[in-house]
Amino acid sequence: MHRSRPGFGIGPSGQIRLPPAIVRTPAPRSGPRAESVHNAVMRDQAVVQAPGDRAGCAGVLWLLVKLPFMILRVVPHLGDILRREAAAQTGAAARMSAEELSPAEGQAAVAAVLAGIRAHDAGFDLAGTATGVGRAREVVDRARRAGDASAAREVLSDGLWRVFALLLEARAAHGVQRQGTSVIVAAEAVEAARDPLAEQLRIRLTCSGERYEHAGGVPLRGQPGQQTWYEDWVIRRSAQASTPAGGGILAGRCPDCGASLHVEADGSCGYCKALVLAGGQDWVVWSIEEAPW
Amino acid sequence: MVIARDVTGGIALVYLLAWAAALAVIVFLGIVLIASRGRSDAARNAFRRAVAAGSPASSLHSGPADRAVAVMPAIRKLQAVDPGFDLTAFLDSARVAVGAYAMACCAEDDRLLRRITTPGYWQTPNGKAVAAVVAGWQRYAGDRPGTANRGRLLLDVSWRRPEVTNVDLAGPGIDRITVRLASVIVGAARPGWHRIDEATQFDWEFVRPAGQRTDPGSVLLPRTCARCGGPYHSDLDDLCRYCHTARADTQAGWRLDRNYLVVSV
Repeated sequence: MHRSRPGFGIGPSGQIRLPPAIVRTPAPRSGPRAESVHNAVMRDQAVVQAPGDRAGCAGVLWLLVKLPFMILRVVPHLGDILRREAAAQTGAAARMSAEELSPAEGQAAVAAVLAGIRAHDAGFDLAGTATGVGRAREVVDRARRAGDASAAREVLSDGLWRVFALLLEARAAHGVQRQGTSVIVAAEAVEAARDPLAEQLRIRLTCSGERYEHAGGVPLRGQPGQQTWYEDWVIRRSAQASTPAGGGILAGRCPDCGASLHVEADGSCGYCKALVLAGGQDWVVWSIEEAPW
Repeated sequence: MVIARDVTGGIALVYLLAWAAALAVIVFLGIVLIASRGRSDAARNAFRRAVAAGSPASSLHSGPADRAVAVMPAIRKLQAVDPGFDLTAFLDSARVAVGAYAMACCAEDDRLLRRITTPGYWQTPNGKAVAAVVAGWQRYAGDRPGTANRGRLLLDVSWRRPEVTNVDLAGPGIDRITVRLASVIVGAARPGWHRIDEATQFDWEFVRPAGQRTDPGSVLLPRTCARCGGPYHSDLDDLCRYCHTARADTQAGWRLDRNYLVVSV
């Protein structure tokens, strides 16, 4: 933590120190220096700084004196800024292009891959698999709304679940809530891939209902009201895997021992202790992509 | 009197020069914004080519966004010496790196990223850039942000079209696998929780000591402390809350060594 200096200006880390009246006002600011008043450390800082600060025109003048030097602080980071600008899409451009769902493959191409899957796995049933994906979506939706990542452990691949848990933790810390309920009105395999190592299906779900997210009443994504949208659920398994006789992970059963699926935190079946969510034995949810909202 | 006048004049000159330089920076950034986000594809492509040409090779890859690379023989070779290696599980671990990177860049929390990267990662241009972002916050907050960072919020992160583009088993003492994928980060920032979506394509390079074998049971993150058995409450916990022992993150031996922005030209 830096030591405060009297007067206005820029602290050692570049933040602008403000007159007491502003320091004490819980007005949020953007960027890495945002929301100081919500941070206990910064509350202490504000208390220390406030007595030494001055208010009025002197502060504005001092800010003007410092302004060009503040702007010049960006110079060492120009290279990184340029690289980011060249490589990344941001804002609306990102939403309109990169976040859009992948175009559907031709039905003939999908059918050919599905036929290849059936050739080595007679128990494979696309309709049953799509139903399982719908069930997985319900499980994940419940976990999201409850803010309990462990509830989704039984359907998500290990890596996806870890990221899912990270996100839920970050969202809970900010009071983000997902509201609304929805139902699946259609499901279609829009992409299928098979190579010597793995098989992958992209199931596009047409969902109808309501979804929106807010943090403490401030809307973040979506809006209340009925709507229809698409979600892509990508499932993946090893090319050597085959459909378990009694149903697998998407049906809520352990693909190894057939017991009703109860997954430990480490990703193993609670009964037979087999690691079942690495995709080696059965389909696992590998990726969830939602159309921009 | 003359000296005082000269000193005053010198200070005024320095101040004017500072303003001139600051205005030049603003104008330059304005031109960059117009070139990179304007409607002209020609200007955008010229800008990308210029950045690609002027950037250090260790920070950026340029070329077509998608490239078909035949890596299956190399993966087969890897599996021949390491039968436990599973591409699906490996890519799944790579996803954790994407999530950790998003957490560091967007929410300024690098705890997980620190655990799954090599020390060398933080000497790369992109590693330094992440460290600078987090350090900026730490200087301000006096501590790691963690969940106390209420200025930035990571809403969602997804990855698109992961593809292994290189498997190098001939390196000096290390195996190296490169994964190219697009990541979409949906974030929000104060004030007003405005959206800060970002879509980027990266090449992610993972390394492990040559000759290491995959232990399928070590793919997962330990949930309890190996020393005292105390539970971890979050994937972000990097120390045991009870005995303060550092938490390991095996990632099946693979660690993120560097990542390159991919500029499509």
